[in-house]
Amino acid sequence: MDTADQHYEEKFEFPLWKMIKAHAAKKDISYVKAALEVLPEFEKGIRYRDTKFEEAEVGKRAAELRALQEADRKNRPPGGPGGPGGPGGPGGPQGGPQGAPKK
Amino acid sequence: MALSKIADRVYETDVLVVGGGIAGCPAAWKAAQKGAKVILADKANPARSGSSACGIDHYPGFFDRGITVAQFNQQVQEMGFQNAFHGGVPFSDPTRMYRTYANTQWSTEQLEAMGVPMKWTDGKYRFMNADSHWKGPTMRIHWTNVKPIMADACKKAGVKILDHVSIADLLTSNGKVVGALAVDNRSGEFIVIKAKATALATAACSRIYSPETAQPWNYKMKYHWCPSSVSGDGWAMAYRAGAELGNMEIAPPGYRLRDDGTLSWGNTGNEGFEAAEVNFLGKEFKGRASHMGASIPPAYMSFNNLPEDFLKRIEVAYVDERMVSFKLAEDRGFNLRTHWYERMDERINQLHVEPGINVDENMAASMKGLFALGDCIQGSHNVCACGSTGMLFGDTVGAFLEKTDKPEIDEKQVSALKETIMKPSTVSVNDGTEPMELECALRYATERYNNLNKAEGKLREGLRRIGSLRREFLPKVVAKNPHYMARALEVRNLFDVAELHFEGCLNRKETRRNYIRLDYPQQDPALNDLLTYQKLVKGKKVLEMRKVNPMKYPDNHKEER
Amino acid sequence: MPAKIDYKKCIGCKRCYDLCPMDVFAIDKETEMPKPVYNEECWHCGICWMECPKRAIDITYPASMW
Repeated sequence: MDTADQHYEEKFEFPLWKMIKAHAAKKDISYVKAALEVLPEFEKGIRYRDTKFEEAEVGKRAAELRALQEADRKNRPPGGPGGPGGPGGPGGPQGGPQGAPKK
Repeated sequence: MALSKIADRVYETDVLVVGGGIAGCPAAWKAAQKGAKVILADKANPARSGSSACGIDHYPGFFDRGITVAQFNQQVQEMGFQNAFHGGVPFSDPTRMYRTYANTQWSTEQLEAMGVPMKWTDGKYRFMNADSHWKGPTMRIHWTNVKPIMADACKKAGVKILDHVSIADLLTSNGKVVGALAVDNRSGEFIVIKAKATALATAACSRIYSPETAQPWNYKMKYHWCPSSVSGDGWAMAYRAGAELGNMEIAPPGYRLRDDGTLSWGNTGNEGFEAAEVNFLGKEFKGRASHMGASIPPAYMSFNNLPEDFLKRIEVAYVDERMVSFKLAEDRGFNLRTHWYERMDERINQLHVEPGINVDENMAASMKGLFALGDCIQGSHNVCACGSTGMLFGDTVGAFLEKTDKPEIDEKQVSALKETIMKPSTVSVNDGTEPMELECALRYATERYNNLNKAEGKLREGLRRIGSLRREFLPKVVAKNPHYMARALEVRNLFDVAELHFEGCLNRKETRRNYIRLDYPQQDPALNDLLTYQKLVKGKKVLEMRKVNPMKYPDNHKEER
Repeated sequence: MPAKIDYKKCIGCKRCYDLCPMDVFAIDKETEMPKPVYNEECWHCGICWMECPKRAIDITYPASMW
């Protein structure tokens, strides 16, 4: 299944990028200038400071992942000399926190 | 022979900062603020160079967790030993790590004084959720324009910026570093820079392993970060000059996203909500569950189940980190709500964070006059280290400058190095080897003979191949014009980094977490608290394994500012 | 393809040439306009595309990176 198939039917657009392009065209400025000008407006629709909401969602997800990791660990066939660790994030230290120390 | 006859341009300065990224710019700015004469050299333009050329969305390393910095440091050290090479907890001088973390708040304020936005749009700081990707107090930041802001601040502070200047080698005198040699990669001029203090802020190295795309034809420079900032220049130059490097064998594997440019990587966890990892059936997995086909490609990252609010946050992070992702994703119909992003195979693709130049709490390397900042440092640990180490260096280098004499330059040394440095500009195009061709040959050797599953025979063969390539082709590298001098100089450095990597791997005869020796599948407890250090002593390679220095600061130490 | 400049929109400000982290651009001696020359080194970072004051640059992924 090609999850990009929808593209060929209806061209999808990022809401924020649409705003940036429109603003850039309207003021005839660069994309980067336009982006910084529209960002505050776009952010108004995001619950950045609603810590209860954030913690609830993130906590729920973290719990899901812990349960999944536990289930995977139980079902894993007996392993060899400890294979590769966690995924590497280009944004920072490799491995990240996802792999708890292996026994 | 007078320097003016050997060199096209000669500079003299108190401080030379090599690399105008997010470590080098703060360093140059702060040193200039404190009254030093500063030159900042960058291969391109500091206004848009380095890992954060397009921006970045996170700044880690804060303490609001109710533990002291020393306690945190102790935890990090322990994790580094017991779970070495898991990644994220590299090991290096604990006093330096302590100092970096103890001053994160201070460095934040310094960056703000520089004009860099640290607060969120609503005027307050914003920290990522406790369960977020970094598992530590990390600030979310709008750093789309961090580079133009930093470059501008440096100019205003009186830093002399040498743009499009590739630093090629360090100059030494009686075991001290006294400056550097460079090539202007637009004019082709040969440059001498005399400096009392030289700070390498040249980041890490990804270009000894294969690039991150599937089958790059022309575009072999595809990396997550700016290619010219991941060529390990500072490491190689420091090594050639006689400074000590550490952990050069440590490179935990990771995966890249195949269509990296269509999603700013940092987004995936930086808002706290971890994306799903799914197999080709869309079934979510976590960890190395090979029976689910998870570790057999293709495996995917999916954001399909993210709450609406978090999808919007990712869009904001696109602006913070790499705006072109909008365009590239839309071109391909990669809608976060429906698309699965293919993960590439798990393999080593970069030397970063653990390897680097061994420095103390003053960012001083093992040779007087030499310093290292940011990702260039052994055990650089975290992105905040760029701001902290850079600012700390700039803040305290004055004390070093006061007791340092004017640099004495050996013209013979300059002439000898000039010959090597400028060689590619003298090779005839018909007889020469293009830098990228040689680079590809080198990267193929590292990819094939090192990487995830090491063994003595493979490592030896790899080293033999690399040595043969070096002997045969490095002298034939041709720079068709000054632009290609930048690439030619990088290839020379990549050879040094690759060889250090192989030699370190040959020496570590054990398997420890992600460091896998097929011929030594057990962990060797004798190596539990030993790190690998490598340097040249009178031209001879010296490798030793030893413990790090004990931590010097007491638990309740407070930096005085 | 890496950077493609629409010369109907380009005003020759040279921002792309000044800022490109890989120095992909050169200035055409005759037209004095910027043009991408070292295309094989483009890493599709989009800096030229996002910084261009006239939005005159297009960036798309080439086939070999698709």
